Amino acid sequence: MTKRQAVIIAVLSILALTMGLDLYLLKGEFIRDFGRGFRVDVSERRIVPRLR
Amino acid sequence: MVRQLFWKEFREIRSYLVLSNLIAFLLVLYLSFDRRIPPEFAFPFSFTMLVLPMVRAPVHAVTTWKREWDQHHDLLLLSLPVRGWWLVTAKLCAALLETATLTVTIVVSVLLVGRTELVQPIYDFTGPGLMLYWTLLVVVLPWTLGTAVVHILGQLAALVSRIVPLFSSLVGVCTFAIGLWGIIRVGGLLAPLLRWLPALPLYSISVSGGIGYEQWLRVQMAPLAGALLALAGLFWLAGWLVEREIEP
Repeated sequence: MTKRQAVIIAVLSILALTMGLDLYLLKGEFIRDFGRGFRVDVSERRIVPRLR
Repeated sequence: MVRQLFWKEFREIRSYLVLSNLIAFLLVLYLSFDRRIPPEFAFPFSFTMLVLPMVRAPVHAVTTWKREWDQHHDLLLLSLPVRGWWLVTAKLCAALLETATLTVTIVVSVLLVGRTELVQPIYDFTGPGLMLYWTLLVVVLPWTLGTAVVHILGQLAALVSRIVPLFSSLVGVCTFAIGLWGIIRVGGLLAPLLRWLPALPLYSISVSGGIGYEQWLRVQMAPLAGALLALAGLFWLAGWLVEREIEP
């Protein structure tokens, strides 16, 4: 195994461990965080005329 | 040179494009002419084939790179005087072309022969322009973005597993999963910093009791912008790997 391959495996392992902990400890809270960011402001309803 | 690169990718998927578009057209025809199917199903199911490019994208991303290596095209490809990200872009565009052609086929087929009873009450208030706007915004844009995300992740997974031949499949799957997690994670983390971005205004119309009501929705797109930044980073990484790390 070359040094480059070892570095990639090490980086992937650390990231996989972080992801695993994130999913296990926060139980998908990050997905809800992501969804909550899409805040929606709704204007008042107005009647529109029929085109035909 | 770049044009030839795009043309090469297009030639590879040409027959598949014809087949998938033909199936999409036949599906719309079937849903339109089989009167046993209620319009509540016929109309939305006419767009089912748009799911296909997104499902196929990671497979296409991996197999297209694998084919280069198996057929020893990589010797030529990596010696071309183009940046690595052009190679990644050409393959990505081939996948996005599938979404684009399927959209055109489905929308035109639905307009020509589709059963539009379901949307007819809204159509009376909006006309074709707004319906097209909604089709693009609600159907095409999310599917195109989704296809781009999984395709870039698929390419990255293929490239990383090429560099690490030991347990290459496992490395590829891990790269894909970590990439997907990373995009959502970074999107959520960057969202508070990107609140200054303007909200996306969406026009909505609903019909109740024969009366049409319009509303404007303003959607904060900060998490999406953060996720797109993360995706851009992964795209750059894939290009960099092609240019610097992949060896024929």
